[in-house]
Amino acid sequence: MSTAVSTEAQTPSAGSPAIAVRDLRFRYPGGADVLHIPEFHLQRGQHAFLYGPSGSGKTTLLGLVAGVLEVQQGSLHVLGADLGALNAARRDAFRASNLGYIFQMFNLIAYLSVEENIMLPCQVSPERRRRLNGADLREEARRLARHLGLGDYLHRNVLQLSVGQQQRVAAARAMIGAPSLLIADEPTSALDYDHRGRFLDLLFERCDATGATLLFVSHDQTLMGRFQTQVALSDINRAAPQPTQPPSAPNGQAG
Amino acid sequence: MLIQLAWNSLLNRKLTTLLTLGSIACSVGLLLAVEQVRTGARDAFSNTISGTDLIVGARSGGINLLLYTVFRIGNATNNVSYQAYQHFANHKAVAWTIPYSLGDSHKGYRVVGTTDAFYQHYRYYGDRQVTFTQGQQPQGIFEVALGSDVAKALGYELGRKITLSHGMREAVGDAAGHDDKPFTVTGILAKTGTPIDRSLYITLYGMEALHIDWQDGAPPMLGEEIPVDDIRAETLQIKSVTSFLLRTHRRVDSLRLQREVNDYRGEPLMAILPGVTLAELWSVVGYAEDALRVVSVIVVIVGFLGMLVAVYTTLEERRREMAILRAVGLGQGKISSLLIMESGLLTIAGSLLGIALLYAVSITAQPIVEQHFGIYIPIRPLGQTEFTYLGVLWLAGLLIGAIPAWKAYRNSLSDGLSIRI
Repeated sequence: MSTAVSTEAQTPSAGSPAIAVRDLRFRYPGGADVLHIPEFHLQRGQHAFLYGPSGSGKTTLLGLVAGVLEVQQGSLHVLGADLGALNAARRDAFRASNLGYIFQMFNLIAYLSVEENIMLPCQVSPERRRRLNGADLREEARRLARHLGLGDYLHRNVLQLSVGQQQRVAAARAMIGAPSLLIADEPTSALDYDHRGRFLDLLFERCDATGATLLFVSHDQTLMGRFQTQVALSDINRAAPQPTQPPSAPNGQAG
Repeated sequence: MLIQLAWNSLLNRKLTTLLTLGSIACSVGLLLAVEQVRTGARDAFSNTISGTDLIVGARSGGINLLLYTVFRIGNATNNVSYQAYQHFANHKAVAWTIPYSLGDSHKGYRVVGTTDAFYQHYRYYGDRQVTFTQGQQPQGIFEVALGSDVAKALGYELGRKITLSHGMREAVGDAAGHDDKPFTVTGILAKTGTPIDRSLYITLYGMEALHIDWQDGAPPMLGEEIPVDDIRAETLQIKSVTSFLLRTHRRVDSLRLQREVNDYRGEPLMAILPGVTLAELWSVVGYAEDALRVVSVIVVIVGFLGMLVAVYTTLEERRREMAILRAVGLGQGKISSLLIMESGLLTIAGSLLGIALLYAVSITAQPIVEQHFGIYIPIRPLGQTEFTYLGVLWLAGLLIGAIPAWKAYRNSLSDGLSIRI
């Protein structure tokens, strides 16, 4: 992926940090700043653990890094791309080709099979598909699934899987087509202790295999010791903690 | 790829999708069926008669004249004297005439007295001519030919003797009948799909012979009947016809001739141009046609509202799915397109199903309708009007799909990547 074809902003350059924040501020319409980060860097290839209580701005920071929220003030570079300079469509394309995202639970699209769920990112992003280097997409999905112990479930309805299996499918989907940055938003909170450990092993192993950076968000600090970098959001965020989850106003941004 | 997603998503909600498809198919099918029946009826209607320049009868209303002459509905108020008929039949501008003498019936079917000219000159559906499936045209005084519906409904065959009755009464053998003068079936006409099929045909002499011993419109007293054997064509004097069809040598003469008929000194006559009066009559029927159309359009709207509800109500439970798709990299525009596509797929699949339904019902219902109601509804391919309807429907489907799409757009804007459970 270092052989960038174009100089477009959405093509990450290899030398830059995975995430570089300078003086980033964000507020929802009609509210105070929920996020103010003067300075934050995350180097490539790191396994980073980001923690903080609810209301500390985790969701907002992830929304900004993923390019779903628009940078309002300050600068945010992800994989070298200046997200503040990209419009919504380009941020979507950037996310599609460079980011893998794992949710806390209910990660899967109910009307697609396990295999189809895993293949989805490569169907959305031609660039991610190119990174398969000519390998057949279905083959690649199966290979990943087998690797994550899902070989027998490829054609299952995703609703028949256990929570642990669902999270592994989500991990496979996040990792197919070798995105450079993997964001996992409390992916283990629905798993029991045993599964948690094994899930982390898998994540680390896969990230190291592709050289991807892992940003792991959790408030479960028992996991923290296994990460190379630990970041307490309350340490880097200068904005006053918010009492509730911020984006609850249904018509907030469009209105 | 989006279309694949939309398709899978619809398949995932099988029951709702099937119900929505069903309601769209039924409403579209109904709309198209109304259109089919409408064009079919209008076609059959305006093709009942062709090649005739003028219809002439005693002075009354033009529509009335058309109705009793061509459609065998209603009655003439007055007759045309044979003398006046002869005057125009021998007119130098006239190519041919077909005289009709009406007024009698058989078991509810009208009896038409006419001449050879009818079998020779009458045209319908452009250039189609009256032909026989069995036998031949009546030549003797007491011979009758049957329209195909009459033959089929009554089960008559050649050689059968039947009696005719006066006026339109159903009963046979009552006092005002013609029991003493039975007619022999000599021919059965081929099906025409016009009112011709529902009449019986005798000669003008036959019609005259039926009433030879009648006086002032009343049957003869006992003992005053003239026996059949005593009636000869040479001795019969035809006194009148009910109306007649007329064709000119040069069509430009028809307007002049129409004026001449209307100004005829001998008796009050009127002549109508069949095309003009047909159009006039159809414009009366047109109200019913419009009403039908309005109802079917409303049914279509209800069908689409069903689709709107079906798609819209799923949005709340699909917020999670939308967030996942956003995370995978779909833009909000694509999320909206996905929903529009779902509505679009429903509309297209629904209307295709509706077309299939239309033809399935048409093919099964056609013989039943024909048998029970005597109405022949032709099965035709979709015409330009129908394709216009379908085009408008698909557009409407996409527009309606834009409503949930807009809602999903707003949802995903406020949800971002947060998953609400």
